Amino acid sequence: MNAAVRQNAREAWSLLLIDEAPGRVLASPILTSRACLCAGYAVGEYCRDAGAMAKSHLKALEVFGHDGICLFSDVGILAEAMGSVFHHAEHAVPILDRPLVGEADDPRELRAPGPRSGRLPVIVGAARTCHASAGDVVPVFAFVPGPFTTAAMLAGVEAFLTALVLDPPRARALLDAGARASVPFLDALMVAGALPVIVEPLASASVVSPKTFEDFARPYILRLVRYLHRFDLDVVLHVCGETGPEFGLLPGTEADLLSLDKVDLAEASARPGRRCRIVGNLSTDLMLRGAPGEVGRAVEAMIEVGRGTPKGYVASTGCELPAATPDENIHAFIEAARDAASPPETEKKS
Amino acid sequence: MNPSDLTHLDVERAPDRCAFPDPAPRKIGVEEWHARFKRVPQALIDTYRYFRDAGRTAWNAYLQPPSFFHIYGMRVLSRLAFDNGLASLRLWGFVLNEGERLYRARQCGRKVVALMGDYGSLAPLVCSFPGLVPFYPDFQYWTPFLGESKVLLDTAEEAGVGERCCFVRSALAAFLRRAYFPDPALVIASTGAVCDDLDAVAQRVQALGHPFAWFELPWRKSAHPGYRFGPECAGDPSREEALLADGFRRAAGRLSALAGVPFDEGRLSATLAKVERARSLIRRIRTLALSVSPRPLPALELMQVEFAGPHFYADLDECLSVLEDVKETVERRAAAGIGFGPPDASPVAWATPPADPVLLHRLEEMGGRLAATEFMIAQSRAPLDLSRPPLEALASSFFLEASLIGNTEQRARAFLDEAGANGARGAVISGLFASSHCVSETRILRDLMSKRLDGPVLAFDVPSPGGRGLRNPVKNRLAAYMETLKRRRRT
Repeated sequence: MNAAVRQNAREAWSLLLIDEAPGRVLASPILTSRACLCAGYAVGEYCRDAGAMAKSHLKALEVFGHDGICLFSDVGILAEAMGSVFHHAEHAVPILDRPLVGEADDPRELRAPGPRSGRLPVIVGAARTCHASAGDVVPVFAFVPGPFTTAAMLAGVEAFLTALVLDPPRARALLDAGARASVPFLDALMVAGALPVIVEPLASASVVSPKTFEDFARPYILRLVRYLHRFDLDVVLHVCGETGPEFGLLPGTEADLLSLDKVDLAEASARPGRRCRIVGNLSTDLMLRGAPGEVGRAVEAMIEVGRGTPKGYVASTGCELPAATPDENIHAFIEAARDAASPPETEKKS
Repeated sequence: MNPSDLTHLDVERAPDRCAFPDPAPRKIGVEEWHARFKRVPQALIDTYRYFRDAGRTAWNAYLQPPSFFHIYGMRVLSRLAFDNGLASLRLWGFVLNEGERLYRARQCGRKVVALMGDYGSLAPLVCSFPGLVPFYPDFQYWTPFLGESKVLLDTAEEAGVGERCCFVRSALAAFLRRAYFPDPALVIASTGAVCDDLDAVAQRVQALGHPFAWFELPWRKSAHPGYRFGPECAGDPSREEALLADGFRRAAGRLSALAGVPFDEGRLSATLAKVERARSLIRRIRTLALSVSPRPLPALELMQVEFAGPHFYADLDECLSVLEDVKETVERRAAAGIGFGPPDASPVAWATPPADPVLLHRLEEMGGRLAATEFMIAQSRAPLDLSRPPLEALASSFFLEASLIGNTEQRARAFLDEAGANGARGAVISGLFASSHCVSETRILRDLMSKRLDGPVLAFDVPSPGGRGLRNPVKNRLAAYMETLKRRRRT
């Protein structure tokens, strides 16, 4: 029909989310704290300061022209807002220092943090700024740690994983606290203009069995997904690490998009991809250590497989880009996706 | 079918409404609606659906809070405040969901027909054919302002249609970008008594290669039996009506080929009964919203109601249900003497649809209220004489009140009648820079309004989105104007 005008990210995402084929392949590597280098901030500053986070992403968008702003500092942000203590360093993301919930504590007494607690305003403020500055041309995604991950950050990873086996009621109480903790944060992000992404790195098959995922992770993820679905949002679930063994279970979370890491993309496309859009999954190790030519070829090959996903596909990385990822490799990723042929028709919801 | 028999469309919503009663009327922002939305019963969310004949699908619910649309790019919503009643929430959801609805229409096998320039006369005809869905690409006019984005305007400029054309150039850009509505199965663009800008855009659209037909809108030269404008129009009304009815017949031929069914006057009559019901609801809501104090419906919601007239937001049946809901709410508020703003708000007549919705919101924030509107779509709420053959009824209704087919003075007089009846103390003309409806239109309107209303008239061009530097002077002028009105009232 008419001479094609290149769609911007907002337009292409909008089409994908209503089961239409966008005019081009979306290229949205998970560019999170790596963005700070574009604006000259240290990672620590990025994680603590909404202005620094927003400026980092807006500058990165200018530099790379990718298709989604991904606001994220660390998986402990909710647990920290509730009282877990994290170690902050200037050149690294915060890491868990002292969990809030000790063996003698009752997780049922935990209260959800308000949206002004801890560093939650950092993400919310950055979301507001990014949406106001660039939200007309690119969607703003805010990564929110899922209940499973937050539970582990409240009790300590080892203690939580132990409770899953030895004290399931306690594990469920922690999960419940994690789910409740998410809600005010999700609300604040939505009002700020961000589309929440539920991120559950600790629920991957690299850490837990599919049965544990099904019994403990999925029900609480589902609760958040349904909460977001009430507002009719399209929900992205990001599970990094191995998720192949969980393929049969992931659609049960009712997430609309699955952002996957160490999986066979062809299998993901053929299995959960029949019910969910697939986002992924270039190796972040390749992004870190590969040459731009290698990255470009890998992206081409990945898109060749991913673009056949019945419900639609977004070219991305399997996980966050490492801080030391060379600019050239990010450019190579975007350019290879840009040169790819338009995606085929998706399967309609009806 | 008698239009009054159509209220059954809304029966199923009644029980669920009780679980979410309206609070005292108040305008609330995105954040407050988001919080309030959490209390909406799920059953109610599940109830409101477009294309109901598609059943309960994963995609056809439309009761969404403003925060939903804000997230997906309608950034201006964070600067607005909304009626806190459920009917208006439903109205906003239905209106803002239209882009997706058009894609869903195509996905479930319907054919989408783009209409340009007539605003209300062809859409009933399209709706009378099974499987055809009308829409107006022209209404992309609002998209740059909803998104506070220059994307469409820049694209139009790159395509050679820059600031010398009014904001309707967004329609061309939307065709080019292919992300705002599906490629239509047919475009029917009006020519003749339409504005030059629209005509130029339609010609560019024709060149894109979509199946295309022209439709001639005759200039109103003659008097009509029900036509209220002056003795200068003393011609033969039947000639223009016959010409228009012939045009409808030709358009029906194209639509028939597209739908794969013959044109059926009986089906059109049934559709017109629904359309007349929709129009009568719009008239009723307008009358109350413009005349009752305190106002039972805010200005922005009223504009959304008025713009249901041209094409029913691409789903006539559901649109009827939405309008019934709004009418019921407005009547309830009017009867109870409750509404928005102070009872002594300054009544203002507003000419030309403000492309930037913030302007209507500001008017109310500054102590004003609408007393009359002329959004160039008066024909889309004109009564239909259902006793006449349907094509004639459609044609005669069009001539009765069409905004854009007569001279500016005629348009101004009808508007001023309404303004006078509702006690307007002044008028605002939110012009379109470079628009070519009539090169001296603003001056004519301003002169007539000044004389008839004995009040000040504020005329300005709505600045393009994205430039606060331009928006602020308009805001300041509106503020100064409202202050003048208030002072005049006091003295």
